[in-house]
Amino acid sequence: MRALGLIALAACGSGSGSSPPSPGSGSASIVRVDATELIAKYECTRCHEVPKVAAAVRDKHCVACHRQILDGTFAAEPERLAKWRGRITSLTDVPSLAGADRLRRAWVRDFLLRPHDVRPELVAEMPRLALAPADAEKLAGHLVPEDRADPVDGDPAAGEQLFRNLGCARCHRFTGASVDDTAMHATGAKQPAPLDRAWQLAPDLRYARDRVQPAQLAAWIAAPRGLMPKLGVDDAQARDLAAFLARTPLAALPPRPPAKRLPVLDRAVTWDEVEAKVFRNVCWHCHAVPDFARGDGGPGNSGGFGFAPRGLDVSSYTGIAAGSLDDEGERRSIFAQLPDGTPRVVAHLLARHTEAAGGIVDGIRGMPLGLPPLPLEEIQLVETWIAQGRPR
Amino acid sequence: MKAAPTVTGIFLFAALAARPAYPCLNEVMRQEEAIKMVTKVEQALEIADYNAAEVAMRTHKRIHDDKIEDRLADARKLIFLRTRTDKTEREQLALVADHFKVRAKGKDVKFKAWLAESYEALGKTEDALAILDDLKKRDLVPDAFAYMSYARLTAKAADRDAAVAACKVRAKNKAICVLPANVAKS
Ligand code: HEC
Ligand code: HEC
Ligand code: HEC
Ligand code: HEC
Repeated sequence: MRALGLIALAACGSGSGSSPPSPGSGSASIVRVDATELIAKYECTRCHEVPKVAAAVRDKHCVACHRQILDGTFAAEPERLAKWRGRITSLTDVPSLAGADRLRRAWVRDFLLRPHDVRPELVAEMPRLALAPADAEKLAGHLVPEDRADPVDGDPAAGEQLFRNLGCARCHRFTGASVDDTAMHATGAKQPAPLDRAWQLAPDLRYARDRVQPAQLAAWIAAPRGLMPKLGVDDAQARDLAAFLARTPLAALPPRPPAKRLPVLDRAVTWDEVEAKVFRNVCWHCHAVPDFARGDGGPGNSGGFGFAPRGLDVSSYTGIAAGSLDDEGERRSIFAQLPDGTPRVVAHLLARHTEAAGGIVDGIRGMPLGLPPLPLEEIQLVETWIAQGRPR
Repeated sequence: MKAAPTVTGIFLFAALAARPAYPCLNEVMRQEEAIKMVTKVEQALEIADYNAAEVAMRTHKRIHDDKIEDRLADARKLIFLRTRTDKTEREQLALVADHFKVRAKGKDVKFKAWLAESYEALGKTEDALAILDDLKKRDLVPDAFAYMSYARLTAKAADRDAAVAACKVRAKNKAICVLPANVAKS
């Protein structure tokens, strides 16, 4: 897709750069790239486990803190824990990047630049960070030191039978494939822990043929890592399953209709309503008051994940009226109309829909960052509130 | 009225953990108390209930948190400013203006608005209007009080009416959107 190629990698400095696939080594591309600095800059360890890189401290770690609350190991009063537990659904699990070495390097690079939803039951998605293409290339090289293209050899028909017999659909969707079984998949949610978490973390296998190195596909099925349990599959069976995953025909996904903005409402919408339903429900967790949290108002206020501070506090009426910082560090209104007349904040909310459909809006990052797009009715609510002069 | 929301941030949840073996547990607890108190004070200020703000502030025990102390200092200055009478000393008002002038050096526009209110109190109409005009132009007027300050100062009747109307939409307590008789008539 992208013509970045491996030249950018060679320019990365550390290590030997890339070696083009050489006939002697089968068809492996091996690189030695150290992107530890970039991993620190973009704070990947606030969500992911990354081999040989220390995890972020609990109080900065989006997943570790949520996990502790759900597991009941976070030391707080029981009533409070119970209340929080009822609210937290996102960033409760993320794939460990230790397993990223099974992926194709180019896929990782493209995914970092243009992330999409891989795991249908996981609420959070990989956030679209402000990564330069060269940074994405370098990170991909770090995470995938060896990229092998040896073909899959196995019997797809036997693999299909195994897929059905072993009940892979309990955890995995395989959208577009004949074996995709939504009814069986739905029962997977009720598996005993930790299989319920494995269900959430299981990728849609539709993407496996593009993102997983062919040889790694069989290796993974025979010896899975992370939360996928060992299913007693021998090497030959694993090759059959891999062949099936890689070759079974896939129906095209139904086209995602473009998000249609709803007309502004006739009824009155006040701050209390948009605050409760939108700003405090989702946005506030990244756009809060730094004064009340030891200087850290979250990535959307004080900066984080490689973003410069935007200083946007949506936790109060005064906070939201005070706008955000533009690229020059000057305050601007998040309600100001963009050239097409859309208020800035609404444009960010709509952009998330565009991103979910595979697009990118130039200069406008989709919000909420790394979370599913808001329902159009909630965007309508925000837009109505703005159109009515933002009543308190 | 709905229950007062707790104004915190995600990273405050960390501070809310009861840590039995934590030597500064008292400090952590006091910080949570202090945030609740500041929130109460600011909510009272928003509806111009200065009495309630004073009462809430009286429960305050000093904590080692400059940001919270700064917010309280802002609140004290605002109460002083907004409860001024004809007898309030000019030097005291000048100190308030100095305070917000320093605060307004940062990027937070609410301090600019409060500086404008202080200028209004000092009779520095042009300085106040310069700030408020700029905020209005950029759609960054942070609170309803700033609209009223503008309405009292502007010489243009249409702008004045628009500012009062904006106040009525954006004020939690619409009673603050009333012009003094001498201004309303002019
Ligand atoms: C706010 C949390 C968050 C941060 C920060 C974050 N990620 Fe992710 N990342 C996710 C989530 C959630 C997924 C799973 C998305 C899915 O499967 O749909 C993911 C998926 C990935 C994947 C695909 C792995 C797989 O097995 O599917 C890679 C590679 C990745 N992230 C790399 C990175 C890198 C590199 C960084 C830092 C530059 C980073 N991430 C920062 C949340 C995060
Ligand atoms: C110190 C603990 C802690 C950390 C660190 C933390 N959170 Fe949370 N988070 C919470 C608690 C507690 C709640 C539930 C609060 C409530 O709604 O009452 C929550 C709720 C949320 C919610 C809303 C509920 C949901 O699941 O969708 C989002 C979104 C969220 N957090 C995002 C983040 C992100 C992004 C990060 C990392 C930048 C983060 N959190 C870091 C404690 C934490
Ligand atoms: C209990 C749930 C569970 C079951 C059952 C299960 N898996 Fe998985 N599988 C997972 C999880 C979780 C992951 C991702 C782990 C990670 O990314 O850290 C995964 C990953 C995979 C991957 C890598 C795909 C990718 O895109 O990265 C393949 C291939 C796979 N599973 C195949 C299978 C097959 C074939 C079966 C049936 C024999 C099966 N799985 C059964 C949970 C499960
Ligand atoms: C996971 C954290 C996160 C969540 C949740 C989140 N944001 Fe953001 N937001 C950010 C970050 C980080 C930036 C800065 C992005 C950049 O500089 O490109 C940002 C930027 C913005 C901006 C642009 C400010 C500017 O001037 O460029 C707006 C508007 C915004 N967010 C609104 C929202 C709204 C509304 C929500 C809730 C629906 C939300 N955000 C949820 C992290 C988040």
